[in-house]
Amino acid sequence: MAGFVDAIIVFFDTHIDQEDIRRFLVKEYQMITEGDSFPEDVRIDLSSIEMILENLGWIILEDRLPVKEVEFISHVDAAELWKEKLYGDHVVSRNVVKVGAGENLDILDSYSRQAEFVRSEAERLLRHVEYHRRRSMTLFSEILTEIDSFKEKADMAVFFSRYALRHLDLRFLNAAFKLNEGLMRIYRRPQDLDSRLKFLLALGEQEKSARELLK
Amino acid sequence: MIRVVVLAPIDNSLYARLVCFKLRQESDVQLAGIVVRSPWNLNRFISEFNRDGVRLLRKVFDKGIRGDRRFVESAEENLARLAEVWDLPFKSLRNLAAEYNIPFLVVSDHNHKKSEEFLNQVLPDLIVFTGGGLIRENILSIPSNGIINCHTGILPQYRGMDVVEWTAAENQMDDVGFGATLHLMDKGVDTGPILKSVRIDLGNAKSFEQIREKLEVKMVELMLEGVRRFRDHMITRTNQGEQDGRQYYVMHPRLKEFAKLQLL
Repeated sequence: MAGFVDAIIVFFDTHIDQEDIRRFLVKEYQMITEGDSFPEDVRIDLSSIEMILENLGWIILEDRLPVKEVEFISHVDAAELWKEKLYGDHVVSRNVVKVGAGENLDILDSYSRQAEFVRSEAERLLRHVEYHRRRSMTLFSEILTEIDSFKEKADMAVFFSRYALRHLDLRFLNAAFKLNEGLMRIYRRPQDLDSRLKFLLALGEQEKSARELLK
Repeated sequence: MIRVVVLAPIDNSLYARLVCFKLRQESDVQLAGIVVRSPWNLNRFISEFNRDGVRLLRKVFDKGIRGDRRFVESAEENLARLAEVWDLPFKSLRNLAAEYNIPFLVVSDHNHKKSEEFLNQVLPDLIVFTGGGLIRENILSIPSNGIINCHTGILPQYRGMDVVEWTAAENQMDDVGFGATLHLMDKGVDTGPILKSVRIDLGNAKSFEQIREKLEVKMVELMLEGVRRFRDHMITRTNQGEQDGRQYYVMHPRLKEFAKLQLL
């Protein structure tokens, strides 16, 4: 009887192991790069994915994608402006998540700006995602299309994975695993290129952090 | 004399039965009521399924169907062995309550109005919480001494879920260690004042299940000690600061695999 219960659990369990993720990432990357021209705004994400996949040893790069130098300072300024516009509010309040939370917290954290704010809001977001699981990140501070909502979740998964690595905090990698599995369930192939890349980046960052933290 | 009510997660909870059985034998302790959460609650099922996914089946199977038999294959000390040693005759809390004429109530949720009314009638000095979800302010404020809970981890460092596994995953097995903490409940999760923490020696325990089983035995002892200390006015409380520890959540299977490797 116990074996039967275990078999049911294995059959219905939706967790995705590392090998499935590797196959999925490499296949999707190859399909996307079959085309030869990419708008500048998606090149940054694509280039980051390439670097992660190469560092993980999952692809061998012959030519690197040319990417323009990005003015990161303007990103930090924009993130600080986004933080100011919260007017002391939290990034998640009554289960409503502020649009841009994942992306902006990641920028602030990567430049060690507003450290206490980032720490407390990251904790708040972690609690939201863990308590509400499949129902987390369904309400946003603005009305979003399905694709934009998907991208917000992918940005959050990127933030969680990077935050886990920067602060050596496995709890955030744990949440990234769950968020990405949720995204995998709703990922449909033709989505727009931007959202596909964001999801691949989210999975790539997850695997990069897992490689470093789970050794 | 101290008046105590026990809140239990399920009618056949062995942990709750052992605590109730021993409390009944303590001098100057009156077991004034037992409140059990009903397993048949759709909201509870949805909430737990949302948290645990299909793995909830294992919990339902172990606790609801296998009951005390889930300990049979265990090699370590556990609640079933303790029940043998103590010669516990009751298969359910309902039976125990009937035998000793203790007021007994089944509720869909411990925070339910029925539960609140029952507790306001009984007016316990202390509530002993042996499981069954988060407790809200309407219940927390009833007993004059508060509600005690025993957590399967060392507080304040490891609050929340799966903390046995998290202790291993973070390689804190030597520095923090595996243990149980008796504490007063408040609005947060495992954030209330600490009454006592004990670390356990792993002995031959080689799996998280075996560690948890050893901890459950320790939890019964801690609960009983806690009630005695309240009865004897010998309580010392250590408040927890918010940032003294972290909140942990259900562990993903990939991290669980990693935690297992750390344990070996």
